[in-house]
Amino acid sequence: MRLDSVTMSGCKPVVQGESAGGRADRWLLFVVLLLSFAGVVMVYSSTALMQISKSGSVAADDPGIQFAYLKRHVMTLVIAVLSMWGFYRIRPATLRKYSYPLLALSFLLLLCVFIPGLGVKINGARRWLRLWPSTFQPVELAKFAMVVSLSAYLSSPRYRSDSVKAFMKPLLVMLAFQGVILMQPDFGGAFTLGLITFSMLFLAGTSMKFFLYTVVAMLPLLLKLLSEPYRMDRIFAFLDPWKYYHGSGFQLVQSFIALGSGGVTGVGLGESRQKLRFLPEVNTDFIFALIGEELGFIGVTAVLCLFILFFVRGVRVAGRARSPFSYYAAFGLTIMITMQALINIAVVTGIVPTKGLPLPFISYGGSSLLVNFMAVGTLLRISKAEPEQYGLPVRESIARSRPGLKTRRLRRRSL
Amino acid sequence: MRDKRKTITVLTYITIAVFVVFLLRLWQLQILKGGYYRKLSEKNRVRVFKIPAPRGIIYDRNGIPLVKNAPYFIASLIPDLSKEGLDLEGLARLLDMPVDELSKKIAKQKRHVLEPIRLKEGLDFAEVARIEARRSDFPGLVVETEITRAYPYGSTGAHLIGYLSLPTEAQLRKGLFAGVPKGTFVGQWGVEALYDKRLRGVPGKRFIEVDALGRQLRTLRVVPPRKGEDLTLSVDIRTQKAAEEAFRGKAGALLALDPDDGEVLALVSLPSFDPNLFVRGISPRQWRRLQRHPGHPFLNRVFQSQYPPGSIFKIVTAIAALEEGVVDENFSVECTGAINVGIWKFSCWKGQGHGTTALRKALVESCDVYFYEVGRLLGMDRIAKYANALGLGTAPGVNLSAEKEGLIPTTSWKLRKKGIPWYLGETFNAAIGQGYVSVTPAQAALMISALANGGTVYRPELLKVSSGTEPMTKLSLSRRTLRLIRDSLVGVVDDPKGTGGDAKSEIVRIAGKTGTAQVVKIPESVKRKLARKYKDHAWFVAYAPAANPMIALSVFVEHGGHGGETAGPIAKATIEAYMRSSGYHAERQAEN
Repeated sequence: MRLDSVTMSGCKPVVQGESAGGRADRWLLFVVLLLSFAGVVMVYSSTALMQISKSGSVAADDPGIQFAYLKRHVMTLVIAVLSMWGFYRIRPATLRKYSYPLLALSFLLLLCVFIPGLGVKINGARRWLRLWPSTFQPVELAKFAMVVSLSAYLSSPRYRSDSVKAFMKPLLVMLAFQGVILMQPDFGGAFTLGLITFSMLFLAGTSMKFFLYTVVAMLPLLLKLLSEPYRMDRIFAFLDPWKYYHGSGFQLVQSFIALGSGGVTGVGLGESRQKLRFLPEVNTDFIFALIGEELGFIGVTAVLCLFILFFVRGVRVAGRARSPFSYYAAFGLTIMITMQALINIAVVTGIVPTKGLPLPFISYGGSSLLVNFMAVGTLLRISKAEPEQYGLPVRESIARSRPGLKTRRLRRRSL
Repeated sequence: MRDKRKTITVLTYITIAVFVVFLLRLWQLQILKGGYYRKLSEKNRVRVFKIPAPRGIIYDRNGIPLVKNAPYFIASLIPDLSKEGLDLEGLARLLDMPVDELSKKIAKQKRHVLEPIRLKEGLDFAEVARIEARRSDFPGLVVETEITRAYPYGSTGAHLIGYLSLPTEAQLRKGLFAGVPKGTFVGQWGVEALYDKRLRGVPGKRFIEVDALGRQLRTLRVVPPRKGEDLTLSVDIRTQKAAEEAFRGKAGALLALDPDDGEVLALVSLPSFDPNLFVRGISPRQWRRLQRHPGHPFLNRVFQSQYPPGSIFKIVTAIAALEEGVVDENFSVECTGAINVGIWKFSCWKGQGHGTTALRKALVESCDVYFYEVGRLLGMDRIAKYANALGLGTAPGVNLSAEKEGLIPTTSWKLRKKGIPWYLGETFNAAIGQGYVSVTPAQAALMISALANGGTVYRPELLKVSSGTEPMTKLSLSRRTLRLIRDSLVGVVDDPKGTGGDAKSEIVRIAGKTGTAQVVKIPESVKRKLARKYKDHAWFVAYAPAANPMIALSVFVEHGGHGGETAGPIAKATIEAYMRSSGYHAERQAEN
């Protein structure tokens, strides 16, 4: 990594006199709104027969409250769209300035989960914060904050992709976050956060050998895992869900039955039988299976295509970004959302072990919806490709004005 | 930053490739295998039935099974298969129970739609046959099986073996037995509880396709259960039985150990209970009766009752005196029946006195005055040091039940506890095992077992061990001390004047020591006429064969009066039973 990378190489040159910025990416917005609409329909379909209770969902045959979940979901969606608008209003430079405080805040919120009274415990996991009248899952905000902070970090002129120290710093931050998240415990969240961090380091051009070292460093952990057959059993339960029918296998078998009975065209909207009592968490983590049952192969293919479209548009936004920070942020946020969709679908179809992750834009679940829409707001802002003015920190300005001096110092330090 | 265009291209291709893989997987699930899953979904007819895992069998040291696995049948109703048109009255008649009790049970559990509702538990074979024959009339009715136990030896060894029962509400609320499938019997007492995890096994599952009426069409898949681990205990059930019978209904405790490794050969706590009462669910009336039983059958007296050891403690005092060089075998005391310290008079149990008494005579005839004198020479703290090294004053840590620690007082203990200094008179009392000193039957057994093996205290081991056990403490006693004390203990049983003459056996030479723990301090002549509850407790510790000990034991009889009279014969019967059971007796006869 040379200092020239912080200049605008690779970004579209700003032509003097051109109007400041283009239009926001309407395709991106359209895709997201379409996915959310599908979400509203499926959330209604999955929850019309459920009743809201403290500990989650309980099947009940009382028709009087069939709109309860829908109402909540639509309300969250409205708030989410408003916050998307809010983030659309924020200039990337401003976001960059507040990225580290945001990261610190998300870490604090993660810790707050353990404070009795503030944290909410559901099914033995402390993942939620009491937020009247609902709850909030800080890990979702942590993902967003991680992407934005890494973007700021990687685009800083002092970042060197060939320095071990520069590689280790974000890694240590990631480990701190993962440690707290695993204490909740939330393996899915910790896993996604790790993937996000590594993909962004990859984007920044971190030498592959660093990744290799990380893998080698994790070998002992892997070996320990291998030496405990009980753990391995749990992890590989997804390969033979029948055998673990009473544990995590149950969900998976029911998910297969849902998907399989959907066939090509599905059993019809609202006609799912699986949702009645067999498919657990049908409104959140396993909503994709419900889509498969009610709308069939056609329905799930449509959803898959929408996510591909989202990824393609998101990457296009990154490609047209006018600053390294925007480039990283756009790419990172796109990856964050697409990856969660991928993992969720992989879980539902039994390709990877079961993890608790919602399907972005579709699943019932306020925090994920809110944060994903914040990300979309940021993406839309970046997609305008306005020329970005740098409010550079003083040190950075010096580095730019006297590049030779700074480079020498940096080199000497890294020796 | 990596080259932008290249990165974007590569990542896009990778992502699209992943999506294609997903599409293929969905194609496989939804279109290729769609028909199969559609069939399964039609009424989601897959039912999972638990196949209970056979519990590990518990054997005694000679391979005699102490428990049997027995099936436990439950009539259950799968709720969602029986929604409409359930003939409640007919079902009530079939199960022989009131209609409203039945409907209450069904209503109570309606929310958990997938779990069978247990209607009637503990069916006998006739009931099972009757239900099976008429099952087609009641959709959703099934007979579930669990595995419970039968205890062929009944109350014999009940405190050791223990029993199974369903986890109680309180236990479930506390999160005990997490991971154990609902409705499984778990160990609640004794070895059954202590080694529950090893004995338990892993239940299997049978996936069955059922039709709308709950009829089982075919088995889709079977995951076989894994049997629990078998355990071989160190106990000898024949000896155990003989020991319990020798108590002749009296309350008390006995712990017999193999002195070489601490293996438990017999563990008696009486009165006991019949573990078979619990395995089919004990009735509230029976439970109340056991709870209110004046003899406290659930008290494991071996570990949970502590009493002054009485004269069996003289062994400890004698060892301390010899090892510390305070006395030798010729040192003698003139016993006139009492000793005066200031204004206090400390009596010997024998009013007219023992005359000139040396160590052997003091032990054989259990002279108190001799040990008062020895106690004076030793001081309490030196006695306590040896008592602790012989396993007294600390809980042995067997974990079979809660354990009392007993008490070996020291001068600093008294100052700390009571705020006043130690008095010489208290040393006198302690030297003969009265006063503050208290031990549990388990500790008494550890002490005598250590004497039998030369000074090593092993933690009582419930399982038969092939490899050696780790000693808890080790006291290296001089050969002279050992010879002298062992010879004296043989004298206790064999000498005409010995206090333990009732333990003398025809088939093996026994060494032992009697003890009496005072309940109230009143003259013997008055006591005989008093109610049982004022009678002294009887102790006897012994090992045999005297030359090469194979068994060491402590006997404690509540309100048994004199140690030699009541506890002695119990020790003798137990030892003889073990000599016969282990083949020692047969060998000796063959030699002669």
